[in-house]
Amino acid sequence: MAEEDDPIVLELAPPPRERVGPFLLLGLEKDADAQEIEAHWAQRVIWARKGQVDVPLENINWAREIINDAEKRLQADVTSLNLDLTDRVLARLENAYSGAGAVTWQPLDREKPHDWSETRVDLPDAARIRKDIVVPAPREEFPAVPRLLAEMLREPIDPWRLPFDSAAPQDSTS
Amino acid sequence: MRTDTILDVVPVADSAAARAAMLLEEALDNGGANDRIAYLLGVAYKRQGKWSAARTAFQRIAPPDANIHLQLGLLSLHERQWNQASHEFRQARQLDPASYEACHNLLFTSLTLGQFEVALELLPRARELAPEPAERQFLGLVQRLLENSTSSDTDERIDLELLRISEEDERRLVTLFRGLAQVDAACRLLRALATSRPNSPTVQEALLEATLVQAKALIDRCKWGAAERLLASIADEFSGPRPIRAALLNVRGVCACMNQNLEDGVSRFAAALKQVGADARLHQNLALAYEWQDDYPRADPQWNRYFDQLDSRLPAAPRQTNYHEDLAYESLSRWATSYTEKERWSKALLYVERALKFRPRDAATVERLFHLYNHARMPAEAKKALELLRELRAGDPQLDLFELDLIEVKNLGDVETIINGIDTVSSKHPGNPKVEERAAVLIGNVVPLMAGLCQQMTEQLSKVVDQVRRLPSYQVNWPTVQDVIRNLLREFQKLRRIVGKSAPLTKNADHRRMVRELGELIDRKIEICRSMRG
Repeated sequence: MAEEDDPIVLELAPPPRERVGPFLLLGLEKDADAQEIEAHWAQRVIWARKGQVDVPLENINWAREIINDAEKRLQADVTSLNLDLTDRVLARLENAYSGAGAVTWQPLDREKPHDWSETRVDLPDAARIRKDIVVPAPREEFPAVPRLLAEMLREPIDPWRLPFDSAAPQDSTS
Repeated sequence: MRTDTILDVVPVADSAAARAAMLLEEALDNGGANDRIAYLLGVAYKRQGKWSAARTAFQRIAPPDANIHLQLGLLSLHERQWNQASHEFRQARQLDPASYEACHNLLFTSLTLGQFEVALELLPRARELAPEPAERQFLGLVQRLLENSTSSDTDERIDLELLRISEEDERRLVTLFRGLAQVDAACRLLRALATSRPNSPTVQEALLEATLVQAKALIDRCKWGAAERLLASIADEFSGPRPIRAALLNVRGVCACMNQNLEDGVSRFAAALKQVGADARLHQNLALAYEWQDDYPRADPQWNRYFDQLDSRLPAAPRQTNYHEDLAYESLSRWATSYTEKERWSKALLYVERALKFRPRDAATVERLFHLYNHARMPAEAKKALELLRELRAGDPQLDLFELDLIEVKNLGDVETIINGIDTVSSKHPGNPKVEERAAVLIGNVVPLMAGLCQQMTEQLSKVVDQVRRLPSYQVNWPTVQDVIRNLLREFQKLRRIVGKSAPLTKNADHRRMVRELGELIDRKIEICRSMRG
């Protein structure tokens, strides 16, 4: 039987979490920010609860704790393998294939033709509106006018011609 | 001005879309609800890329016709709301079954969503409606690929029609598949295309890319074995651009290491390095894989290349200044620690000295350097390091004890000097935990030295006793024997005094036991010396 001839593939137990490192456990780049850390951690918690990830929940929480501690994160950076290279090929590919980019097929658009004759809007007639406006008659008396005129006619103050009393007392401080 | 007059002068074109939208909004406000104005407003906003405003304008039209649904579907595509877009195009198609635009867009949105069955149902109608023969032919290719990818019978069979397609069609298909929101679907279609076009670099490269992304999805769930098997299925026959090949080998290397197959991991990382020449992250991976194999001689040059390339090109944790310097310091210190644990002092020294360049005023690093100089028997350098340490940690009582580390023990006098020094510093700083800790370390170093000296003197004494017992009395040079015994007695008494002094300074239980036993042994030897002298 073919099945009997197939080689048995043995999979060893995964290495300890310290060797896997928090970045691989949470699927994060080494420059991940707080928002990404939380999002990836939350996603993996959901997966762990559904049994969709081959790592215990305890290790997922451990990874988050390490990555949120600046000193431990630095140490983990040194001792963790890099899934991507310096030019970030994998990240670019992941982005390109995740549907996060623009649509790669040309959607077809067809706008309705501009048939202006259809556009009719009932607006009030301007002449009729103008006719309907009632302009109030001006009042015959304006009490403020005399006062305004008096102020306008008053001679301006000239500081050089102000009358001074020569008998006035001098400043006591001098 | 009448509203219809406004519309006559509104140029609904891209350049004037903003002004058009403003005037149309005004027209709508003044003229009440008008479907035609709302439609034009929606178009004006769409041309400005204001998807939400455009949607609001189109939604003012009630009941929406097929074109409104088409427009809403297009807006959803721009917003990457694939399911919503699919719903709108379906509505448009129901209202206008002859609309090629609605059918085409629904077909490709279904493909994007990985709904191959829906796409397969739509394809015959789309081909009927397609206005151009070239378009009809392209849709035919898509249909063939979909059929091939969903049928298990044709998995490995070359489709002659797909074999003959033009480069432009091939490029269009590959671009289409690259944009599918589901990488699994993209992989299936690309695999079907690659089966029929095994010699096409474009298709093979796209297939590899999609498979790499698929493997990454498995790695995200820590399914290392599955990811490794998936990549192994396509890797051998691939010859694409070097960066992609390097990325593939690197991912395979990581999977191998995570599957505890370090040898395989090392070979993959090394092969990846050959593709790109130099890459700090690859050097780090290779160094770690060697280190986990305990192959320090091979890990060492890889770490060095990593240290040399550690700069701003590497990712840094956000909001942390000098991250790369800290990373370099941490890496160098860690690698030095690895050598220290293996008691390879000169190697450890090399890396601590390099680490010190990143933190020249770091007292802990200088202290480490001082101890390493001591271990490496470099007293002059150790002295310099101690001077710097005194500057950095002025008034630290521990440093007086460090001074004692510099004494090279050659005789009992040196041991006595060390014991006296420990006693002096301990009495000067009683209860100081750091002093006590350091003193314990020093005592721990001195006790074996005292035991060694005692052993040497015991051997001399045994030799004399043996000769005296073996030779007849007249053959013994008694005056010389007396001299030797007198000297030995003096030395044993001195050692006894030193051991006695060290006893109260010894805190460790093991050391205390050793000191007690040593004292008892010396006492016995003193008795023998005395009896011999008599």
